[in-house]
Amino acid sequence: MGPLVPQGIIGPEWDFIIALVIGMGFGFILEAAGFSSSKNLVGLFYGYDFVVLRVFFTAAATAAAGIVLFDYFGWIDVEMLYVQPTYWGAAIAGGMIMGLGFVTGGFCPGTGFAASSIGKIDAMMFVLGTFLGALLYGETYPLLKDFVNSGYEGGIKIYDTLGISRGLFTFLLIVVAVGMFYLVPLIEKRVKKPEY
Amino acid sequence: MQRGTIFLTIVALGIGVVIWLLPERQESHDLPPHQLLRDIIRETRFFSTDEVAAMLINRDPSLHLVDVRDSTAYRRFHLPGAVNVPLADILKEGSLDLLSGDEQTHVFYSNGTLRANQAWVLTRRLGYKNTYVMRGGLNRWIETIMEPPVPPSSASSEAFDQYDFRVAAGQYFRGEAAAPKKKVKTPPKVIPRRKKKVVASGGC
Repeated sequence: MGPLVPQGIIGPEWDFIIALVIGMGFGFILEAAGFSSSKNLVGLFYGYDFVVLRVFFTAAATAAAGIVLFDYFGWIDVEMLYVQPTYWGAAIAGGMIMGLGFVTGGFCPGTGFAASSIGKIDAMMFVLGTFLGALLYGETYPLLKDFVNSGYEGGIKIYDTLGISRGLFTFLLIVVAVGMFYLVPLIEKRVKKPEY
Repeated sequence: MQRGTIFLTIVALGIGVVIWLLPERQESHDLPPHQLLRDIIRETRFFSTDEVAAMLINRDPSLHLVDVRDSTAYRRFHLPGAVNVPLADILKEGSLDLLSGDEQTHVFYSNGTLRANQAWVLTRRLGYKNTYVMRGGLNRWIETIMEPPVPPSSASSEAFDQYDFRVAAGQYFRGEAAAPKKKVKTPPKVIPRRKKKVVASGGC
């Protein structure tokens, strides 16, 4: 039966309402999980708090397992899901800029909004910087255009590239996630959380 | 180590093993007939000649006209900006690449509706989503845009607005200057166009 939106079971006029509901839920969960504190977030880079890594690996493993199982049960058609196309140049450069902004600013875009909504001034500055960056990107786009579109690969999937089955890849992802959950506490124990 | 952690680990790895061992479902990616039927009877897959004319005049960048007649007919006359993909060649690699842009509105047309419809069904089965048909084809284009019939004096004001638009559009496509004395109403500002699906992109 699914996915609901690409098949027109839920019409495109609902897009913004669904986005609003999901966005509010996402922001609420971020705040409830303590992701509005940049101390928790950047702990990943210093090694005293891996909550970000845990959350994202849990999300990735749960979503991957869910999609494979739903596809097997015939509840969704995986082929109809949108796959973000790969652009090598933009992905590598964008990842580095994102990481640099994350460790210096102390937020990633979503958590920046969550933190500014509870009144954190540094997060508001971060959001302002996000908009300035977007403006700068928009204004310099003609110069960056060739680079941004370089290395286009289309909507490739990692298990096709590796030449393994989707099920095996999902299994490996779960194994890595579980292994991570056992490994990172060992690092966290060794690194002392700095007091500010 | 806590018992709960061990339990969760076993459950997670168990689900992983099950997923690994699931047989791959063998499915054809062609659109199943009942879905194709649902799309065929949907009126929104058609563009009227007026809608296409409005999009051309407004230089709508998303409009991508595809002429499915043979190349001789294409060379003799075609709509501005249209590319020629004869129906016989539609399944060739290069032709299908033309239809792959998701953000574009690909509108097939031929002399009538039939060949454009055939092209539409073929590409639809292959999974191309943003394809449409100009209803009536070039015959109706000539009848409505190039030589529009004057509505009877008892017709509604909408019919006269449409007639004025068609006259103006016909002048535009023939490359004539607008008639100086006769007041030509501007084409309606509302451009009928299909809603685009907004693709949610990821991010944290």
